[in-house]
Amino acid sequence: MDWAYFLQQLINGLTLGAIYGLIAIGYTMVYGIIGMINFAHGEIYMIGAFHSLITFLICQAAGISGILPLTLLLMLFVSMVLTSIYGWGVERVAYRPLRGSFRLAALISAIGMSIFLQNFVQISQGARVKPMQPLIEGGITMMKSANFDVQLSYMQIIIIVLTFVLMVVFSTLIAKTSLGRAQRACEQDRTMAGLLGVNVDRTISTTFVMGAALASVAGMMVTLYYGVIDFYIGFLAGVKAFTAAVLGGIGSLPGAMLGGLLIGLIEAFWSGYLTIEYKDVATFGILVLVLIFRPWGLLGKPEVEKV
Amino acid sequence: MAGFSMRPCGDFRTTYRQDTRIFDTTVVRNAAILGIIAVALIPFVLDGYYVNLFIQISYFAIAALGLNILVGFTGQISLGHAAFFGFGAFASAWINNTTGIPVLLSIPLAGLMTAAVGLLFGLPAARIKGLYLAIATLAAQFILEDFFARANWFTGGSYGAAANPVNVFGYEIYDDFSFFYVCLFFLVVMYLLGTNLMRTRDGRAFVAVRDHYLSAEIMGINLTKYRLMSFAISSFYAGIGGAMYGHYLGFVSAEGFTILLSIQFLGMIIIGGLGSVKGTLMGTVFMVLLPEVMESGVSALSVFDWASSTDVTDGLAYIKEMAIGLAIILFLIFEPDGLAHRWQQIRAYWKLYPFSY
Repeated sequence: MDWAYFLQQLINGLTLGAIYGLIAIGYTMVYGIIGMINFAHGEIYMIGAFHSLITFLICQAAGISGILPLTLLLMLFVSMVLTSIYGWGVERVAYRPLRGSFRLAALISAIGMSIFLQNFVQISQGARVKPMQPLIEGGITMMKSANFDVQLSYMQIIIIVLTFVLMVVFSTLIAKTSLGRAQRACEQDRTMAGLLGVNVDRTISTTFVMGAALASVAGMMVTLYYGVIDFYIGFLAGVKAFTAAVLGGIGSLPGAMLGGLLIGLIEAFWSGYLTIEYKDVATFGILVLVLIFRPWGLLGKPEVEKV
Repeated sequence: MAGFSMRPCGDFRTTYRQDTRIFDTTVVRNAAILGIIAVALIPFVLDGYYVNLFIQISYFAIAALGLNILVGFTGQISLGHAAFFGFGAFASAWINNTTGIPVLLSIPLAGLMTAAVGLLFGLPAARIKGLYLAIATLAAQFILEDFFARANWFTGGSYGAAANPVNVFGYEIYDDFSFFYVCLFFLVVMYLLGTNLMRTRDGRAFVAVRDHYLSAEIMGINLTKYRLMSFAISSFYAGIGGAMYGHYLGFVSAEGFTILLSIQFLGMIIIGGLGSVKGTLMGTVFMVLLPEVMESGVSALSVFDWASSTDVTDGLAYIKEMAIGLAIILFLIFEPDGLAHRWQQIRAYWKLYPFSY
């Protein structure tokens, strides 16, 4: 057993898992509040990645890309705001008119939205892969073994720390603020919450905006981490993050994070030790097993159905 | 059998036999027969472009009917229909290439093989429903797609598989003209089967499972059995459609059966009308014609400079996909019961024409 190799896979898996977790939170929050899967969420993440890249290019053109912290903050801020607007718009156009419709209608409309957004980006940005120059380089060598150095790059540290911070912030937001209380009320009983003076429409819109903002952070991290993005990254990442949300127990915030980390680790170890070829099959195979034996996920509560 | 030549005003049905009739009146029945004859004349009247369109419509319509049995009649969901469609295409080519069974026979055999695979991936349906089922079938889509790309013995891997043309009693069918009739035959048979299925005990059980599964279970319907059966039948249809597609193109590549095609199938049955056999056909026609109409629209616009630029022609493929997404959303919002419902309204309007009450 090569511990250095193991440690490296662990680090890579955690980084990947943190990104999946950030996207998964968006799925889980929306499911929690209106009981539907926002299938366009993966595309929102992809749009976030494009926004951060565009912001960076504008910074470069304006000549302020030398000041790294300012550029990064600008990228984060602009991409979060713009992507949130998309999240809001998607809810307004494709989901709100269908809220009273049969349950799968919203799911299918979400898929339609996903196709629409994907092709929209493809037309407006072109189909080619977009490169991004590395902004944050270097790292720490954690361990040296005979044939292998374990690297923990600064980028990976930023991803894991930022994910952790955002996780804490959003958990507090939902547990402590009046907005969070309104969200939890809508989750339990939307009609009753409305009768008690909660603005249900606005609460649902806010949930979409929050999810989109988190997804845009994930998009920016991926842009910086891998250095390439294209219009197609949203779909697979979206499906994987959704798998993560289901694995952790959909509707549960810590569950989404845990599921994300698990999926990231499974992927890293599967491709590190077995074969890289069936990586996606492994993920989806696990998903099917979870769905059959524990559909409410690791941290979720089973739904009790009353007649 | 159809008893009246005109239906009395309103839905007066006094016997179960009346209720389960395929055609309400003799006029409707004769119109359907005439319609089939009219379609059979297409190759003599219209040129190859339309024959090709009809062939596309027929294999997609068969697969879409399978999906409608699953989604519209049984109330399950599948996001992996394209994978089953693809499996049928590969299975038929494989059966024909390895055993030499004639193509006309290997198409239904491929349907049975696909039904078995559908049964396997439908197993989660025994325990989960709704949203979770959607995800399990999504997983099926990805797992099968990976399988197509790697199982060299079965699909030829990344090279794809060659499929022989249909051979009827030693006469090989290469051209669209003859293949058209093979398609028409399968289309009519499969749609009659589908319509008849809904008149049987099993068909009614499907609808009961869809409408209220708890009541259905209390009334003695075995939920697991009917959910799995629905998956198997749906995959059977997908397999037949896929096999026809494969033998029509003569070549099956692993890349054609993506999630986008699965969604297009869903789009067909939503636009046509969930739980309507006739609607499935309408939805398929809509979905196949939509890109064609857009294309001719763009070429009509190309007299203008801005429309003939390469940007527009290059972007057209994506604009078509965008239009599919948009059509699904708009139909869900404005006509969730689909074209079949709209057709009923038009008929009702003309029936009562000058005096609407």
